Amino acid sequence: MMLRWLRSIIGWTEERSGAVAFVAPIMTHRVPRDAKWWYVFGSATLMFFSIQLVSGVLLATLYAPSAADAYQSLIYIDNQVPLGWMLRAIHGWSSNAMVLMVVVHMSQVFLHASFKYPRELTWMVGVLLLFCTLALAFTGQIMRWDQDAYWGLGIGASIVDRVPVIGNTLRGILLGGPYIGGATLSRFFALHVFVLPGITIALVGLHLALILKGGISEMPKPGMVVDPATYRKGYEERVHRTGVPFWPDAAQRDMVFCGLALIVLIGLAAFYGPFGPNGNPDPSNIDANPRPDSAFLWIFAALALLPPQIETFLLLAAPPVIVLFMLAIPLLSNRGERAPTRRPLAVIASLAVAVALVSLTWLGVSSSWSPVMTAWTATPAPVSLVKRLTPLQMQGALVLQYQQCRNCHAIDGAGGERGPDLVDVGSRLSWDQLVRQVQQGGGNMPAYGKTLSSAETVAVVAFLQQCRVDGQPAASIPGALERARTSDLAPVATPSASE
Amino acid sequence: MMRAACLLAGVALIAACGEVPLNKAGRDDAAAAVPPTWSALYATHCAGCHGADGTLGPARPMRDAAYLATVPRNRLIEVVAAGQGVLMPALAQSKGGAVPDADLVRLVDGMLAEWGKSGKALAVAWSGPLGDASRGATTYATFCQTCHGAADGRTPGTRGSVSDPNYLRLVSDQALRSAILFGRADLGGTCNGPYPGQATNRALRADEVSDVVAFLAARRPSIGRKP
Amino acid sequence: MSEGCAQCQGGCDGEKPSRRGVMFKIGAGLMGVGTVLASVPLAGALVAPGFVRDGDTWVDLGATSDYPEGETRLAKFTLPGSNPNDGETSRTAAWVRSMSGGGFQVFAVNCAHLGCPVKWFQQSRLFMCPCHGGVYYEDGSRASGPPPRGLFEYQSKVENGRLFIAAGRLPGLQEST
Repeated sequence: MMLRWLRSIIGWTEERSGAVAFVAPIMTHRVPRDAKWWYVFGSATLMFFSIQLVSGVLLATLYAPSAADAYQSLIYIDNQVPLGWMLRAIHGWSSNAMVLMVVVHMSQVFLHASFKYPRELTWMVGVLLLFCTLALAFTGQIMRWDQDAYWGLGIGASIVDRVPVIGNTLRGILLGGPYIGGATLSRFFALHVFVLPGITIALVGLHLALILKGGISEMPKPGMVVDPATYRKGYEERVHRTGVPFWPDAAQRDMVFCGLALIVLIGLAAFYGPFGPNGNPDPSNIDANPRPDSAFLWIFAALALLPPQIETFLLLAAPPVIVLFMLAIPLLSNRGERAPTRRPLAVIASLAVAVALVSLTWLGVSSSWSPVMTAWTATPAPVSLVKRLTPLQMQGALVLQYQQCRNCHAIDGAGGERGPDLVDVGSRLSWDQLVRQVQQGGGNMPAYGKTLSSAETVAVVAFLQQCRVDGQPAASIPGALERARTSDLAPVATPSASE
Repeated sequence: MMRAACLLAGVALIAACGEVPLNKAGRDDAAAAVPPTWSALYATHCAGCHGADGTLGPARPMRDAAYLATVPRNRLIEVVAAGQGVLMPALAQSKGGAVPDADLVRLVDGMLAEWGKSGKALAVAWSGPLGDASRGATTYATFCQTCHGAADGRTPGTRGSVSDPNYLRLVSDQALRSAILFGRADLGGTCNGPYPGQATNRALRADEVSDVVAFLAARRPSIGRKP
Repeated sequence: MSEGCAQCQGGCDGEKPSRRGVMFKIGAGLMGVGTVLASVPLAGALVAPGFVRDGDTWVDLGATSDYPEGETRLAKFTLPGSNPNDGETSRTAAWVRSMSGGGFQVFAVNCAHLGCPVKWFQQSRLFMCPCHGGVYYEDGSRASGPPPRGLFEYQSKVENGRLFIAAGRLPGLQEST
């Protein structure tokens, strides 16, 4: 009875809409038999994007998109709204998962050269989707409206400000005014919630339509060359002969992978909870230690490591060059071999990019170039050293803490990592070299000549000189006339002489 | 299959209904409202120089019951707030430091309660005027010279010179006095006595302490920044 | 759909082709004018904030006696021109250096590299940036690290024993000198 009812309703609807007739061939279109687990990442990306749409709309029902209230509304969502924290956790983790899946999917497509004829446009739309995803992730970080969001915007504004001539105008357009404030959040809210999702949905539709038109690519085989003149005919023949219907043969793998990925996502969200918010967006609180979200740590690292002379040029020239190059990849090579074994250059290039991204991200996590702002009072002078110091050297160890040297210099691994570890500096630099380095700085170290008294200099150098590992000799320049190294035991000048 | 799915959903629901993520006892923001404990304050603002556990740092140990029992609480708060000598920074926000006044008081009180519990105040006053430098020379030769060397630098001591002019320019008279009175037991030092191997196996008297400080202070060159 | 259009263009309803050509041109022209009229205010609203060139306003940072001579202190103030909608972000800070022998230098807290908040260290007389390790001397000049120049300095003046700075914009490479 029920079944007959249902069937008549479907029949009634189908007669008027043709929905089944439209969807059925799409679902059952034939895909290559060998399209196996390699092909699940695109589907997973789409699934995470769907999660983002749903959880994003739900968050929009709770979030107060105003600079005065946004931060407090997040605290409220986390602590007061039932399951609010879980909502934020899912949105945040799914954002990371989506970025990850886009990158994996893209790597797979690149390594298998699926972008070659006739799928060039599919790739180009995919590139645009990559940047949409990254833009969504960045604007999403702004939505947190915490310290990281504020200073992240400051970094963005400073980069835009470097554009010659119109930089300042662009900055104003980006921020919605001459400073980061309410107008800025509203702009990025509109971008994050209306503009970017709209564009992304449209591009995803286009991407899928192009996939249907071009067909799912086969696994690459060495010697199976793409030739635009004959490819389409050959592909359709093969797929017709040996292919399987997408539903359910290929879709079942997507379902297995997506299901697992979803369960892992929910697990991560439930266990680790939401990201941030980290500290009020109060720009007068200068104790902030801004860090971007994980997807942007590699950019953060690159910004610290670019040579200052060409930094502005690279900052402004690199993004458009990278985008244009990625878009142009299928135009540069749309025929020929697809197998990775026959495309060593592509494999090496992918590996190089992967290594660069991973190591830059790692550097971004450790951010060894940043001074450790509290090291001077919080990182103890090593006990093993303290035990063997003379009174003067002891004062030198104090000078080293007091003058914030430890913020940039570790001793035996503890302290900042901007400058060299001082644990063996006494066997690397002679007394005179130490004095010069401390007084004049150089090699990315500030000069302390104006700050330190001569007594402080002597004390800190006396301390540094005995910083040697396992009885290594003190550094010296053979034949050079050097000041007495044991000056604390044998004072150079008696008080009466120096007065 | 259906049953397994229901079970999973149930587990997810239970997990999700928790007030907070499974691995966190409370939200960070709630924790931030609680003022830091004195030991957290110590670890952030003092451990660098005074040692991770209050001993064996380059600066005077704070885990020193006699020191904490002798020096008045107000004086401790004053030094922590406004700094002292050459190398003790001012920590109070009103002096350009990083710590609110209330935290400073809590820090000092925490140290007193934890490290100063069983301390007995010294008989000699923690501060006092300089004594006589020439008498101090004799006292120095008797009590200090074996370890710290002759004041003219001719014979080095086993523990390094305290009459080095650069050293003296970096320590205040009060720091010298505290060093003599309370010593560095954490480093194996024996100030303030008894002094093994010396003819007079006893601690310094109050006037002798002031004399030695005066003697060393007189050897401090008057150039550069004053301590 | 497209077939229908093609047929209409072929003249299925009996109108004269020349007349329809004119109508088409008029339509295209009207749509063009309308689009321009609509997009000028719409695009204008989008880019207008980039062309705001309001001058900075003098902000009172308090009595000069609040700033001990020879020291550098953080001054907090509310950004002039901000509105309640900005919430906490309207609060701003500046480093005030009261020079020995008189005179003030007021620096933006924003690092000249990429705008992160620099921190003053009284002992070493250095400003350090937590993001990429830029370091500045007490007079604001660059000491080390990636910044392309010294700290941004506010225009300042002393009137009736009170310190004023000209503020209102996020400091940046093309903002202040």
